[in-house]
Amino acid sequence: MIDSRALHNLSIPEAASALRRGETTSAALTQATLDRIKETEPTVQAYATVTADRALAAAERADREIAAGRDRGPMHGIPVAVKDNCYTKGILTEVGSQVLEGFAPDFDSTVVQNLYEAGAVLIGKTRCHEWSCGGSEPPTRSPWDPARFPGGSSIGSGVALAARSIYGAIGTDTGGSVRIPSSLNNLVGMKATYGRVSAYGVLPLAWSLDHVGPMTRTVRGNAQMLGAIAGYDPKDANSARVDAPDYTARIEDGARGARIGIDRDYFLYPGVVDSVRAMTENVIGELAEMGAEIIEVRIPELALTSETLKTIRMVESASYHRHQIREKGHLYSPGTRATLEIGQAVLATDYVAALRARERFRSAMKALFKRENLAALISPTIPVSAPLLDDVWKPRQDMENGETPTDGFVRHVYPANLSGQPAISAPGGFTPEGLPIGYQLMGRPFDEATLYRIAYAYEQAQNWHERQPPNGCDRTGPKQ
Amino acid sequence: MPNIKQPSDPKAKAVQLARVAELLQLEIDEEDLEALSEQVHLLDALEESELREYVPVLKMDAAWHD
Repeated sequence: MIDSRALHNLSIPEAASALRRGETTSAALTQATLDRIKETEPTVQAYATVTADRALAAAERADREIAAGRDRGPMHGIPVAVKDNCYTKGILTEVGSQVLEGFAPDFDSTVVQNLYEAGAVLIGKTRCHEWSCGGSEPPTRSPWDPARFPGGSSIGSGVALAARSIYGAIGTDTGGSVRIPSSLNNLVGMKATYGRVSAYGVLPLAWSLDHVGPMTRTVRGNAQMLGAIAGYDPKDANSARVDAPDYTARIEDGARGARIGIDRDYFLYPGVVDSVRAMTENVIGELAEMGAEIIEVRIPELALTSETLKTIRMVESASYHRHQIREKGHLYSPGTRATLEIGQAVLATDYVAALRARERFRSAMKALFKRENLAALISPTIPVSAPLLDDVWKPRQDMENGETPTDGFVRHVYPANLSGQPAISAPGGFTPEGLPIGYQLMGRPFDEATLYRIAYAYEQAQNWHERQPPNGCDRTGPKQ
Repeated sequence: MPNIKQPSDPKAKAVQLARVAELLQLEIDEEDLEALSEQVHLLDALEESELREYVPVLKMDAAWHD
């Protein structure tokens, strides 16, 4: 049997193998997770709700099924957490908002239902920014450095994974909210193709941009988790009628022959700090050594992706919230309310202009991928490492144009929300201060498997994912 | 109702947005309004020059390489 004190460090594939070899049990994994939550939560505050009793009961059920030979696949018996904007039957779902205080839905979101069917053990709900956008900060703190921004809006999912208080977590991504916390917490985060994972029962931010995705510590674990949650859902009008493959089937095939594009003008613009620039070049160099072909590309249509996405997001968010704000506006924090209300002032014609701009961008991406026969586009996930919490919204001192870290966060991640293409963020290295930084691969629609194959090849060569936060999760906080 | 024309510059767009915000009784910071007007102005200009052949499409295309 594996020492119980080491269980929380296992990745999903390691835990799944240990379960099948009889070296541990789901009950032991679940207890180890609950113990770890007890240890780390006073410092990191990643969870909104922990469902210990339900989890232990589910784990015992999983152990009985596995012992009886009813194996539901790689997520069977694995403790997972979901962002607090996903409906969970009988379990609080408050999305960081006072409006939903005390609300427990009477049905499960499809993503949660799929996790249950895959035999995963739900440990609890992770904190997120208010209504997944937020003008107020949750109390969640980074285990890498509590003075620094741990990402958003899937902040609790990212922090719980980094703190080793969960094996896999669900995030949602309307403008980078799976990939940004993944990059800042040394994780793998997949925003799959639009419609690939059902959004039914997930509180929306902007319907046409919302994606649900897995966050994990390894590429293979991420592929396994996506396999459990992907698939057509008739309850989601935007769900894609495209079969979900086994995302791990060719994961070991390597990066050889993959044509990977890089638009240096856009993705390595002057706002990219030196450590992130060096990391990106290292990843590109490593992939080239593995036999990938690096293709220099130019995509002028990237230029207005931020304005386009923001316009669509503002209007769709305003549409969702306007009646509720009229009745319960006092229950929104002022910043969130302002963010959600402003879209009401946008004219319908401007919204349609943004939709048309999105189609122009998508057409340009489609033409580029086809012309260059690209498997992926590579970039840093975000241009900076984790900023200090106080600096997140302030203009950067090293930039003359008033750009804030938040402006930079969205620059590289918005394009995939806009086009609907899959995009993965994976660990790419560390800054000299020891802060994690990630790289992003954007791929062809419904070809998440290729992104996993490339990212897995890099992960095997580098092992950045094995690095853990420096004493950041115990009761006494980080050592200075 | 104020005379709302399709503006071609961010200042005119800001005036337009401020009028809409006032009509809807929305409290929007001046700074936010400025940023929003610049944002929609850029899309406005793009639409005028380059978006004639594009219609809004929401579904994903699974056959990019077919």
